[in-house]
Amino acid sequence: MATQSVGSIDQGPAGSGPGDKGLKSNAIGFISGVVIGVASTAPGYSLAASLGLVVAVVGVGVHAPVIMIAAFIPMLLIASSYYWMNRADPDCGTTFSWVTRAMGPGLGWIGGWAIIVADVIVMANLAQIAGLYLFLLIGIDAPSTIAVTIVGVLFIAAMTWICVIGIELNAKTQIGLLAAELITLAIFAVVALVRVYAGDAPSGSVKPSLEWFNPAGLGSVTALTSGVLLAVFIYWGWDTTVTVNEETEDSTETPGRAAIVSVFVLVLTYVIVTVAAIAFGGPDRLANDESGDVLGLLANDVFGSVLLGKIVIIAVLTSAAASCQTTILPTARTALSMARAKALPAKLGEVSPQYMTPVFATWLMGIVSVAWYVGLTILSENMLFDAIAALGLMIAFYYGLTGYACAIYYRRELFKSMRNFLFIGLAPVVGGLMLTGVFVKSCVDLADPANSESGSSWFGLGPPLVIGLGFLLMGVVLMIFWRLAGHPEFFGRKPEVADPALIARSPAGRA
Amino acid sequence: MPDKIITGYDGSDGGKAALVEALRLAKDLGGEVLVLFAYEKVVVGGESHDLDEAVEAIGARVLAEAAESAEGAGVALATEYIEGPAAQTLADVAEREAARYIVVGGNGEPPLKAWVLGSTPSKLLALAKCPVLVVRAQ
Repeated sequence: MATQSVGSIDQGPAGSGPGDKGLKSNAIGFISGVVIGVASTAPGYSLAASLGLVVAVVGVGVHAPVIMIAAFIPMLLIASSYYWMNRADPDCGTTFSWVTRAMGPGLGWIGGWAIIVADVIVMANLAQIAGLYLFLLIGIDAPSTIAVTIVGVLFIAAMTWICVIGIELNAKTQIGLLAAELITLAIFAVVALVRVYAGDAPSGSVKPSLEWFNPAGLGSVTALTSGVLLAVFIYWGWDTTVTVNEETEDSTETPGRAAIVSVFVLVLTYVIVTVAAIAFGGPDRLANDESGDVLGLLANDVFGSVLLGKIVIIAVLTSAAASCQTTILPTARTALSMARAKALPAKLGEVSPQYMTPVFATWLMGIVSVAWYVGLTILSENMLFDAIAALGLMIAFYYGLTGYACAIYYRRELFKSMRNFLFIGLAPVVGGLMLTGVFVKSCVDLADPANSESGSSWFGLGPPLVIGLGFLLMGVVLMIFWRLAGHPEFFGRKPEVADPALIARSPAGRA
Repeated sequence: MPDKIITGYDGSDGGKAALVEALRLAKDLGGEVLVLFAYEKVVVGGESHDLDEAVEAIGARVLAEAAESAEGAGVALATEYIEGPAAQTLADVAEREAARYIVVGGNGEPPLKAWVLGSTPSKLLALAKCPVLVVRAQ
């Protein structure tokens, strides 16, 4: 794009103007695709945050491995809708943008709101885990709530600042960190299992049995849905592998394979570590752990060495940092996308010419997260549980919505081939129905405060339900205000239908 | 063939100082200037399409500014928007164009970011095969 010619400048394969996105110039390979998928999901942090909670669900106990597998199924089905919708409309607004296209601006706005709220909700959990594990790292097992909260707030501030100035780990560093995280978890699991079988584990330990994998062993449907509500969170994030598809070297094959491989890495990691932790610590110890840092405390016992135990703690911390980054970045981008579509104030869509990041949206995300984290710490008796369960409601809501949007958007293509029907219609809808089922059943269960982890009650309801529905209602109110203020460019949009060409052509053809 | 001077330009004061120096150098040598705006996409955090579009708009605006400020300098100037990490991209383009010099601003980046990740000029010293001229903003 020479503005004043100096003869012909050969742009070479790497050259690109704004029209041509130069996809090949920074192509990410298969391994990087897997790494980004797994790192975005943050297995170390996810396990640390949810393992104790899942085991504690009445009726789950040693059957937690079933929950880990059950939660993965709807996520895999919904990922299919992410793949197809992203192909139609690669937009950082994801669910917001897609649901707006398929089902109109009202639902689309609420879908976008749910993403932002989900990200804010999880920040409280992330900050808390980061605070707890930082204290474990320096050898303080039971820090005061105030100390943990202060460290958690500083953690959010630091991670927000990193996202604002645009420091991203390069692919090689990420591969290194992730490898260290997975190897640490693997060694933890192997040592724990060897000690259990050698009869060298503390009292309360149990030998794993196949019965742990028997779904019928779960006490009730409530046990299943309550467990899955907590566990959908551990897979939350790997859909990003699907949405970075066009950047990969071979965009027709790589993204699918990278997504599948990263899912299997995750399922394996979760099941093995869950089995090992339950076997070594015993279900009662995991379930009754009030501190929320079960993986860190177990690590010291498993290795019988404080120094080796600290390696697990460091793995959880780096994982939490990665997760924080993959939470803040997409939230700011969702806000950016909504602002560019005139669904939110234009200020949120501004990109700083100095940092090339949405500075205002990113700082706002950080500030709101801190306010939410501090507020929840004051109000909640078991904030780790309340945050993850409320988050589960949000994920079930907006992932489910995305599943339906996919089938609706592509409705005219579904019956043109078996492949279309299965992957674009059936899988997303079944995934959506599963998540809707979990959402509705959880709402009913959580309406009775006795079913919540702490048994605490807000307005006669379980706190996660108040948080989840409260935020959704707040979204409806805000949307009505925004609509009353005008913005016909957004609210006047009509639902669209997929272009048949989207299915015929390869994703590479999009550029 | 006239000498080619490559310069990175992001609209910052350092970038402006570098552009001024690149134009003077090109004039003295009877060469021409290629102004680059490099942006590395963020691969973590999922889809970044809208952000990339916003950055492309900034890049196009900044490059147009550069071209405008060069008017009347009597030097042939071209601009290019390119994806990739700044230092590596500048070095690669310099090699592709068989450039005589690379001129960059000495303090274009936020100091803390440069401290954490290394600054473009210091990375260029290791990567570039041609001489690198670093200009500090006044």
